[in-house]
Amino acid sequence: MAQAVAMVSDRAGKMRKLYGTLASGVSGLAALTIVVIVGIMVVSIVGGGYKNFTWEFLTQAPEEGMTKGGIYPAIIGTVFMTLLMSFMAVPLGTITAIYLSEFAKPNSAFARTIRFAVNTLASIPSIVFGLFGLGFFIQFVGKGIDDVFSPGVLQWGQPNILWASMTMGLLTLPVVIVSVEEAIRTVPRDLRDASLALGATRLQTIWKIVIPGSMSGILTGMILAISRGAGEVAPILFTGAAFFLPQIPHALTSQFMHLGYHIYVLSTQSANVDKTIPLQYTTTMVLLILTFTLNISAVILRSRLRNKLK
Amino acid sequence: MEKPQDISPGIKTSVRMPTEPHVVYETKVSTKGLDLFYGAKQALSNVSLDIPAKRVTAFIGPSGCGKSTYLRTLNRMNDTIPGCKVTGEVTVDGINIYDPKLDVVELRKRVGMVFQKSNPFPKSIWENVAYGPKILGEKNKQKLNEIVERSLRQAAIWEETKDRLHHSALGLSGGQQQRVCIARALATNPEVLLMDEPASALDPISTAKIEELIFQLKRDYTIIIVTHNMQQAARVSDLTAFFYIGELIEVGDTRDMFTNPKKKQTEDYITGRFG
Amino acid sequence: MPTQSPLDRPPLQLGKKFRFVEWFIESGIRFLSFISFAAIILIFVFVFKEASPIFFGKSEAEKSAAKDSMAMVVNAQSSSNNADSASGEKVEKVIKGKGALKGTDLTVKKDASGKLKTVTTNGGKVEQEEYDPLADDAPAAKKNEPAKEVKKIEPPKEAIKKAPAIHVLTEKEKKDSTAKASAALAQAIKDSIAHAQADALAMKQQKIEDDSIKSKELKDAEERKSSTNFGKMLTGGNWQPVSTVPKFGMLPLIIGTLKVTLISLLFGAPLAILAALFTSTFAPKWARETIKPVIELLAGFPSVVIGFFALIVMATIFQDFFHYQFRLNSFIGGIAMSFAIIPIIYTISEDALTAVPQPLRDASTALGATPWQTAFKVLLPAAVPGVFAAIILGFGRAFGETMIALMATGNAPLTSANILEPVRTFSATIGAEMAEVVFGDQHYNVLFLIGAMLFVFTFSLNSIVEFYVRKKLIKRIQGK
Repeated sequence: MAQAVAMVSDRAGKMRKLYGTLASGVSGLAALTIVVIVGIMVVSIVGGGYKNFTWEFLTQAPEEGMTKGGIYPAIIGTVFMTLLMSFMAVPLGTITAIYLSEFAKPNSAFARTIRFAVNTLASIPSIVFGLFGLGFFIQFVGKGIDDVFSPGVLQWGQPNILWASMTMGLLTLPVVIVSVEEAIRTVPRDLRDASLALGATRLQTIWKIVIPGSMSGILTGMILAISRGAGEVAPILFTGAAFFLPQIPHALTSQFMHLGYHIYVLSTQSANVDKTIPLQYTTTMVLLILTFTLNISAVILRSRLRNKLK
Repeated sequence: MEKPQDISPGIKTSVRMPTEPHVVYETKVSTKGLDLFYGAKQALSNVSLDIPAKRVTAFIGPSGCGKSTYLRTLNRMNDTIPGCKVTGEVTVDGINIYDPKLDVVELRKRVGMVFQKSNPFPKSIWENVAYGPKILGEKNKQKLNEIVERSLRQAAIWEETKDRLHHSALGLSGGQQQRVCIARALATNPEVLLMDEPASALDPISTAKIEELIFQLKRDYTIIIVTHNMQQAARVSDLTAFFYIGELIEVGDTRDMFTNPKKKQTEDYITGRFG
Repeated sequence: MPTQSPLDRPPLQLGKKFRFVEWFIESGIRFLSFISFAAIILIFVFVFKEASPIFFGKSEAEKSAAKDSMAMVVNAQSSSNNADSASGEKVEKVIKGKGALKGTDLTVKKDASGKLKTVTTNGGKVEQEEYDPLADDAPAAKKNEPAKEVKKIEPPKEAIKKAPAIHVLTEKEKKDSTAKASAALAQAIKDSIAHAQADALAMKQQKIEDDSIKSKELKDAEERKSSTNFGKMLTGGNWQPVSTVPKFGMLPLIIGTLKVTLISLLFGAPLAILAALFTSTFAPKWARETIKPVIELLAGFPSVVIGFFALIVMATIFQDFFHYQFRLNSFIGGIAMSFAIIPIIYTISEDALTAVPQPLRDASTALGATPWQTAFKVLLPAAVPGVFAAIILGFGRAFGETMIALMATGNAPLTSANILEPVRTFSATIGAEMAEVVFGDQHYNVLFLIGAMLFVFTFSLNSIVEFYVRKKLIKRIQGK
């Protein structure tokens, strides 16, 4: 009897072990697949692009119908657009995050509405932002400005870097809000209480204790927003990105070249797709390097922040 | 011994210590029929208590009895907790502090607070202590230096910190941090100092230092201290109030209360039958 | 009073101090934080506003339709009244313009129909059916032979317009047609074959619907009117926004979007959820610390980079390996799309799995459960709402993703269940066509309508997650 019981439990134990190995094996394989996919993507893009990755490529304008030359205007255009975008998205996002975590009562209808709006904003497809930019910024605001200040002259009522940046700023707003709010939450309640108990007003507490304490989170939000803005193409397809523009943008009303849009144009819209494949690889590599650098620094900053919390 | 003080016209009640019935103390803080709710849950019911000026008053009781909550109503720190509702009357110097016309910032300037867990700002020691005066508008660097030195001396930590005033306060030990926090609270020159279990997280030596400090401070400040350490209450306080499940059970002269409690619950608590 | 220090102050008094700066900044913060909420409203209002003529501004559309049909009648009359040479000349021009193209495409078509008997059982007949009604499209078709020829060229031309990528390839092909065929050229031809066929399929479907006996002009006017009917739009089987009679049937787009989205979910969701299970349960520390950053890295991949990878690298490899006909199809698009949704599903599932309180896990382990038993009997059931939320949000992302769909799905609006045929998604339609439409045009309004639909759809998905799933999750974990 005892032996039989032992055997049964032994067999059950073996089965259990088998299932365990199977479960961890299958899930591990899934994780491995993802890692391998990422590896293949990085390797094939870098493998195809490193040969052309030269100083000249980074500092020259495209030539001969974009089949030769570099991507200088695209890099500068991307940088200008993301900077302009973060001038709008970062302060606005930080202020909204401060409102949500410091002013709003957590269960008030207003705060819940805004929180829901932020979540929705984060899930709206980027192309819809593009449509919005076209319908609101260009057709409504831009045309409105033109009608008032310079009737008959199309100046603001057409795609340009300002409208593209504002569209992109709206897209990256939730990114900023979420990371700043997370950072604000790491500022201990004790410190706020201490400041208030000393007779500081709410605003003084925020300005002197909360914001300095969440600086790294604000920075993280900014970096993530820039990374997102540098990589997104759909919102600027018809709000300001230019097919080909050898000079860098000189005014808010000028169009601009963008790395991501340049990749799209070269690989699907240009006259010589095959000829430019090496250029496409290198442009993609440059964009990847840009977003990776930004993302990795955000990850490092954020993990520091989390350690601080512990 | 202190002389009996004149009762200023705004003050309606006064305190007489049972052991010193001839001495009339000025009432600094007074509560009448205080009820406090967290949402639907009642945390304090019908608390009425007069607290004398320039004396140490200790609140004792088992954890969760509402003593810390009561302390936080005295400078309206409960305002920051959502869903917290206070009814009844709390006066400081005869002014109802829950009057909608009262400026809570003005109140907190006068009623300072030291928290259970030491919570120095992640700044230098000097910045920590000067924070309050700066907030109140003091810009003169010379004056600020004086205030910092005075406060640190009062908190008995000047000798230990005078060479490292511009180092981060987070580099100090727990006991030192707590004394810096006390110095920070003193720097705004409050009239009342609320202390929420200031020594509960400290080692015996630091605790002794803090107790010594409290004894020194009562010359200038009205001190209200929450503790669940009865020996500590017995050592430092003049007046003791015993709280149990949101109610004030008994209040009286400390020596009197510890030797001759009038209520059964107080006696049970003091003799260690529960809590 | 002696020197007034801020620390010497009068006793406590009643009376609120009014701090203007404080008040001003606080209201400013309140106002600005309202913007993100206002943005949602504005986005809806402005996307919908541009789409609204479809519902409310019918008269305008009708007017333009009437005008166009008038023009057409005039055109038809003139061409029939005038000598054949006039219309013949006009036709010649067109033929010349597209001469080289015509040659290629016609031959290509024949090649293709000859080759691909599996798709169209009797290739010859299909071609016949295809061209007859199209010839009817030309105003003077029945009278002149040349006109008929022009119309024969029409379908490829349209296909080209709709698929810019292919346009490039065929143009290149046209240029280099005299040169020796290189490997790239072969690829280009392959693509154009694929597209000609895709188009042939679309045409066939159209023909089946179009056996009306009404006179040409009346039919045109009618169709124009009805093409702006929302109900008909949703169920219409043809998406031909730039033909002489624009057709805005969204059925191919719906099917295309669903195909790509479902493929990406079927491929991506299990991978991501299993990986989340792995890192939250089984994985040793070193594995967790490699996998998580790698997936965060994947989340940082711009979608245009994924699209590029799918277009240039993956499509070729897959085609070489599996030998299917269309290089870009819904399968490639779906797989590429899954790369974009894996990080989302992974992150949210992982959050849900690690949010299961440690005591619950400890209790299970203490009862003698192995890690996998804990995983399947305690963690997964507790995290089901979270995983569900992850899948819904991943679905929403794939549904609205533009660049990958634009670059890797082939962009042909086909109504077909075959996953190896090219498709066109909603977002890709907006991305590809918006740049070329006239503002305020019917086509423009329809594209905005698609945008509004995307918005409403993702909004509803997000609401489900927000109000239903999250509540359930909290309930389960906290036992409220």
